[in-house]
Amino acid sequence: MTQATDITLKLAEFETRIARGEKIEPGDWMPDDYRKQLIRMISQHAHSEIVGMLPEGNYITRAPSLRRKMVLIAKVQDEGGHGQYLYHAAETLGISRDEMEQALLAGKAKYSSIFNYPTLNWADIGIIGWLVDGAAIKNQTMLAHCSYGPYSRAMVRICAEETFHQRQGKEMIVKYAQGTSNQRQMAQDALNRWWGPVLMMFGPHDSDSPNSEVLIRWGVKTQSNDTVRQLFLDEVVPELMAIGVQIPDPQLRFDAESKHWKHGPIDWAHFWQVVKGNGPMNKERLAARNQAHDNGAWVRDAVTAYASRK
Amino acid sequence: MRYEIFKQDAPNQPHSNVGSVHAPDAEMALMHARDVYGRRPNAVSMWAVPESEIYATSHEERTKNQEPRTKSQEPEAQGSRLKAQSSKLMAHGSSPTSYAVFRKTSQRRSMTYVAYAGTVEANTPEDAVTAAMHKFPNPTTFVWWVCPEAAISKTEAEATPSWFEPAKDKVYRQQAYYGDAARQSRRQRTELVSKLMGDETQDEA
Amino acid sequence: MNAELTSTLDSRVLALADDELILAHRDSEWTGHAPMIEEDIALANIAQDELGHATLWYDILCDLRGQPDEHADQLVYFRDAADWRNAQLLELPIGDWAFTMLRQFLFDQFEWVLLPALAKSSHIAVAQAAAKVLREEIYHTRHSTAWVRRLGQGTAESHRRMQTALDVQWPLASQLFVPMLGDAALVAAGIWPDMAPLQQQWLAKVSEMLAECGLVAPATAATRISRHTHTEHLVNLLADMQSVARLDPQADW
Repeated sequence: MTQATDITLKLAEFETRIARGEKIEPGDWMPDDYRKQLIRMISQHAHSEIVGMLPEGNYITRAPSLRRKMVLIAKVQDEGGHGQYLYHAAETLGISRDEMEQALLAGKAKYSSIFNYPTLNWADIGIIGWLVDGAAIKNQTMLAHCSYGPYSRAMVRICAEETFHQRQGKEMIVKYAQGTSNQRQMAQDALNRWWGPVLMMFGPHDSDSPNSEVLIRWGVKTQSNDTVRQLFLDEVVPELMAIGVQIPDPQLRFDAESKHWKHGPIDWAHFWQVVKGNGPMNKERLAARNQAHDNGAWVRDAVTAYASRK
Repeated sequence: MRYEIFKQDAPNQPHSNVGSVHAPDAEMALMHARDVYGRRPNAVSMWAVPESEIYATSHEERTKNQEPRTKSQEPEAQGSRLKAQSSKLMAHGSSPTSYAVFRKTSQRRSMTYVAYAGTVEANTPEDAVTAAMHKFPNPTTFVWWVCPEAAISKTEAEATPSWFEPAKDKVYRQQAYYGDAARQSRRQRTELVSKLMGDETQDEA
Repeated sequence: MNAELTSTLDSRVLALADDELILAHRDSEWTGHAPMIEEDIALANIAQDELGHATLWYDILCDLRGQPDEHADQLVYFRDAADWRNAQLLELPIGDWAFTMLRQFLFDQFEWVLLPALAKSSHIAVAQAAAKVLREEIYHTRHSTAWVRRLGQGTAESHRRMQTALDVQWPLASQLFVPMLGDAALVAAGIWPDMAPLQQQWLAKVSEMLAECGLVAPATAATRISRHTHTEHLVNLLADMQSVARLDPQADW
């Protein structure tokens, strides 16, 4: 049997397993491209959780009540935990956490662009919880059905934990939209700044998303970017309208025929600028991660030295 | 060093693999495990095992390649770091050792990976897998992990109240804690959509 | 309980609540910036625990004062530095990882001697709160002890950083045990333990660990700083912590 037919047979069997709904596990045969795509996706996802601690972490010291302070610490902590679950899932594919961390610190790895925007008022914390986490949950619910066992398990755990993230954010914004004029202003200002970037979180339109097709066939993704974006829009638009905030998209409309909400054009030129590192906070986020890493070097050396003598 | 973590949710359930932590030693690994994998209730005990002590093999590998393998004979480019350690482990023992056996018995249920099955006596990890296949024939096992029982670090039983029970009081980590706000907006959403469906000339703002 | 006892207990509980709150605040600053992800998660856990403990003590204070629970937020967000009763040790900035871990260790050991005594208080609510806090402190103590041991004995650099932290913190640590007006009556009523013997127990425990690590406590006269005095750091901490709440005092957050 030639090597080429061998691979073809293996690939056919692999795709049959996925079609049967089986989970692919670390020791199992998988196409190189499946492994590569998963490492790319999972490590980006892990980095997003870790960098994602920073914008909200910015408000931990200022949370305006004991309850909000507790909730925010727990939420940002969870993000660290989720980064941890995901780095673990990526490690099962043969890449080390160190390699992934180095790529992030050197600015070579991507992470979700949403975390390259600043948090400028307290209500940003509510909008991030409700909309940013809400959008992430839509993606993650899909990924929980992913064919790769470790990624799927991480996602199930993350989805279960994230529901509180979204709820606490929604609770804040619903309250502030009906609160004092200061609170209403804060909520509106936060929505104005985050709405556009949130819609971009689902990624480019299907027509411009090169990896989607094979990822869907291999059961990594199960729905396209535009499909998930639409699900999100149909859920949050009526909810936001109901509490009396203005969604900053003059072309947003309800299409009675398809029964879907339709958004106006998305500024993809801006999106790609942020992806390329030119967003409002890219440099600061990377600098903060590097600083934590550098400041921690002597600590990691110390525990390693201690352990090696025991 | 990377430690694989096994969590037990109730005294009558097996320890099940939940992921890993990086730690300089076993004591720190268990503390990290508690913080990373025990933030939500339902943990009564955790185990930590250095990844280099674990020998992993799958049903797929064993049915395709029956002869015992060393690292140099492994099929092409399989990424399991666990398995890459096998040559070190092969050299491990020549006298009988007690091995802990973990296995995955479902291809579908997404949340359970390998869970603790029991122990076997063997000279090498490969022999331990063979012994495990005899001792635990049913149901079909898709993934086997074995490690020397002595390589497992365990949380102490008396630590449970301090290590795991406080998570039960942290109710703000549960979505039900925010029930009112969510119910309210779900009602509003239903109302608005039915209104819009009834009146298609509705202005969007 | 007579008015004098109530007022003294009020001061004691306030001091403990403030200690926990300020320490929780400082610990939470590490979230996202710790030396390893696992410790981001650990410190955030400890911060939540300390914040939970602070809330327990503030709740007891609300009851003592016949105030609703919202009074706790008033105390935290609308009280100026001069009225805080936390020890200065806890308000200092987080410094490096050695500074944070040593402070946590010194405070955990303080709670480790105080809480078992407090759990026997004749005041039921105080005794119950102490027992609950003690349960979580078992883990905290284990965590901070593990770190002091590793940093104290890790590398020359980690040892040097621990010694530097100790030089700053040691003179301030005794403030945790400083007597407060009316203590004797509380002790006599079995409500609060006598702090002097507790300080000796604390000293013995802490000294044992310092010796194991080759760390030398600076020879300073025992300070008797009242819990009424603070450093500039508390003013800055409060300015930050209270900034959003004070934007709109009428708002429900």
